[in-house]
Amino acid sequence: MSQPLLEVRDLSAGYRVYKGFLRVLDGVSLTVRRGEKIGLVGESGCGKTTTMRAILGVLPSNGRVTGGQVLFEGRDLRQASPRELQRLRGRKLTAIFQNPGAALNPVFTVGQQLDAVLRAHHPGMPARERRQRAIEALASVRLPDPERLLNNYPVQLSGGMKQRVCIALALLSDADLIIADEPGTALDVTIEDQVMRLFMRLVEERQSATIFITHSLGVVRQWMDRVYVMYAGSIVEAAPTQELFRNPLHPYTQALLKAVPKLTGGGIPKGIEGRVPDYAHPPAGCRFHPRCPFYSPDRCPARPALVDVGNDHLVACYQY
Amino acid sequence: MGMRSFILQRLIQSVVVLLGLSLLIFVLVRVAPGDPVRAALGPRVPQDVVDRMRAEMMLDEPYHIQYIHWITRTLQGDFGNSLMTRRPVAEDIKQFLPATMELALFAGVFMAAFGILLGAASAYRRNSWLDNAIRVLAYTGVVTPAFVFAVLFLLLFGYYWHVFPTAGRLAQDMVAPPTITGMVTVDSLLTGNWRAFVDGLKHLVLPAVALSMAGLSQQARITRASLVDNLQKDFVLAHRTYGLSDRSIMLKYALKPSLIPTVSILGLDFAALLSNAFLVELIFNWPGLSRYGVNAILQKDVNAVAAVVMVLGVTFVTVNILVDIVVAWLDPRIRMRIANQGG
Amino acid sequence: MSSSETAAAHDARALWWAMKRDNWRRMWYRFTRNPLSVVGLVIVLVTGLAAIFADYIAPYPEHAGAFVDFGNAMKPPGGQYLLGTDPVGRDVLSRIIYGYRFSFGMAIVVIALAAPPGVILGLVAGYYRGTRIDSIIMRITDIFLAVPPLVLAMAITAVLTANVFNAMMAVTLMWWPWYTRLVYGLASSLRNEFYVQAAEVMGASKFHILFREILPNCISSILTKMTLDMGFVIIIGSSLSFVGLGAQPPTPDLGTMVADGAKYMPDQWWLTTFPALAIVTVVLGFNLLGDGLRDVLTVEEQ
Repeated sequence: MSQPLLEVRDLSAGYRVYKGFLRVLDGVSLTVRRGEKIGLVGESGCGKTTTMRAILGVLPSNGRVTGGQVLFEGRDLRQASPRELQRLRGRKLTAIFQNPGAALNPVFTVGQQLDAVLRAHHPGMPARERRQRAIEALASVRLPDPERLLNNYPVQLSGGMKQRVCIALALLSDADLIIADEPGTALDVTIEDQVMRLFMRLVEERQSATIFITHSLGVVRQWMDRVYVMYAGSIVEAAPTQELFRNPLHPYTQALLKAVPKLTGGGIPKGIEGRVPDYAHPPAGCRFHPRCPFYSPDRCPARPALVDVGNDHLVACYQY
Repeated sequence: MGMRSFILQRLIQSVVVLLGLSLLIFVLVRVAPGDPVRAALGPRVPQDVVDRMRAEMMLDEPYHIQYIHWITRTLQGDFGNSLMTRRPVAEDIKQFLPATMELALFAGVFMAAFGILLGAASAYRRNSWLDNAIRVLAYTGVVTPAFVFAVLFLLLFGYYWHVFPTAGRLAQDMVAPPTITGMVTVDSLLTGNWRAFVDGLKHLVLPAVALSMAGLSQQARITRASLVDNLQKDFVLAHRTYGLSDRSIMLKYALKPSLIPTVSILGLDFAALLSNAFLVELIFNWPGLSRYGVNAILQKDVNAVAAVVMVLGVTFVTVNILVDIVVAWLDPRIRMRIANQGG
Repeated sequence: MSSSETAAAHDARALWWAMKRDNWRRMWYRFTRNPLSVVGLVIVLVTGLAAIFADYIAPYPEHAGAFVDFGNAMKPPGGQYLLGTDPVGRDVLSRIIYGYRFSFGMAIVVIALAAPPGVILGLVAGYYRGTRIDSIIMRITDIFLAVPPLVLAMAITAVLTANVFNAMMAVTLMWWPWYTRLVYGLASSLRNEFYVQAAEVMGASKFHILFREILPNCISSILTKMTLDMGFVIIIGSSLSFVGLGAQPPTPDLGTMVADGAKYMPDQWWLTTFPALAIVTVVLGFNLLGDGLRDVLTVEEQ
């Protein structure tokens, strides 16, 4: 089997805050193969965004990666020099963010921002060619009148347009891996759908892999090849999409699926008891155990490792 | 386009403000108790001389007539005669204004440039010893009055360590350059007089730096706060993610939006500069407009006082318009708002 | 009201006070988290108390006025005269303490006179934003702000004689527009808040809306500004005295002392240095205190 594009092994990371250290990520492991579309689901606060930032190496100033490896095309990004990382980012590895309004620099035009990225990765490219590429990028995200758009400031664009511009920015160079952090959250549902379709089409066209972070199971089911379920800073289950929805194994996944309202029967969905742990003082061992109906202290002593139960289905639970 | 009508709007506003200011000054000046002419000329001058001067200065006409006369003459550049120097105030202004302008210009540029530099350095090396040192310095600059700095610099760098000269604009034995702009440094540059330029510069250092300390501190603090705030924003994250070099982010993409609040304050800080100029001019014996103004005040030379206040008012208003234009240029969001309103 | 109703009203009020006290306790706790703010508070309290009780604290209260003792003139710091004596034999420390009384007094007067009209104008202009009254008020404010602050103060002092009272009036006149600007911004955004609109709909009087709904939400910003302003007015006041436009001799004023002492540098360094340090210290105190207040009060609002 060819080398996976991205392999995250046992990644741990957290943030230094006033009261101590928030150990958000506790041994995250995931694998992305070339062209694979991965959905990363989990409730708010489970560490999805931290994972993304840790992989990219853009944690905020109070963030630290405390352990593990991030192997991109075989090379451990944690060992890479800042220059190497900078060259990778935006070229082979790129991302789209949650809030397009905030992700665009308000005092520079769309054209200037596109140009900046092009200049960073293609230093020799003449200005005219850069402009051409920028226009093509805007056109590929189905934005009308791209030439005029180059001179517009983000404040002049609608939410949906801004998100398309962000996608264009991310896709300027044919990145092999695109991490998308809940790109539809800040948009109206209809716009979100349009943007989703656009994004997935572009991903298909370029045969890029993507890690799509979301808390929407519907999106995952519709578009993704494989799903990773995350809870409180570690992966609890991973499986091809069909398999996961047909046969959820981890108690958290099962509860998650039960909590989604269905169009066809199913009654009133049940929420999940309890809440996300306090990362400053996380529960010992399996982080889900306070909310787990199957928990028993002798059966679940420490943090469970991910085991393969066949069908490319991994789960981290002592039941298996 | 929006910009042009914006500038026009600001100009009209400024004219209104200046008119109001002139009215205010006029009221202040005319409401002065006592007879300013008599006070200036002294008790021994015969009454008919006093009366003649009063008629000349129209002090007995009804107020609104006085105002109209005064404003028309002012607009023509005729500020009347100074009771101090016995010559047209306009002449006095022509003589003393360039010195203050030179001082204010140097202090202003120094304040803006260093303020932003220090603020940026502070933000980029957050919580390092450099950051803390700059923050302490900036705080000191805010709480220490300009005259304390002036006296401190004078004594430390002037008397104690003879690094810089302490009085005047040029050394006694230096030949002054011909008066083109009235600013020693500029004139000497224009006429190629290198020694005079250097000497003029040396004389400028202490007063200009002392004057700029307050504004510099404010600029540094605001730049720092603004940068720290912006560096945490999502678009900086996006820039890093797309591979923009840290240096270009530092010098351009994070800096530009952070300059907006800084430049907005620039106008106010410049006003503070103009206000405190008199302190520095007095301490360093700088022959500028503010020192002239203070003397006019102490001697109740009403024409001179009115003229000085108007000149400073006009300068300040002009600087404010320039600052507003720069801010609008920096922040397209403001430009959009302007375009949507005026257009 | 029946007895059970009065009892209930009583309880409600007691509860309200309990909540207020709890609020203050929390604010105090947060305030003390930053040591600098506490330093500021201590400085302000110490200098303030010194100013109030100058007669009891100053070692030589009679030196505050016209006092001469050439025998003890120009003595360096130490011994009987902790900070030395000036050219006519007055104790520098005592004069500094009285100078504090002077500075505090002037600053309090100026701010007490400038803030209320400024705030009221700002409330009115902000609430009626977009109407003529807004334009008029803000134009007037702009006019006063168009002149570099000290210049206006000096011009006013010029017209009248140069003394303390006039200096105070002058500074007041140039100070109020800042409050108007501050409150204008706050009021014009607050007037869109729900509770204001609710009050309007219920037919509350304009007075009530302005002073009972909008103003309380501006109070923390106003208080912070007033604290910081104490320091700035002291700077301005001493600057005016420095050039002779403020306090006249023999009144002890920190600015005048710096001016007078500058002539004798560097030999009799204590004559300028201590008054200058005194100014810096008290302004520092107000700044630290003001910053601390701002940190505490703005977080509260969130």
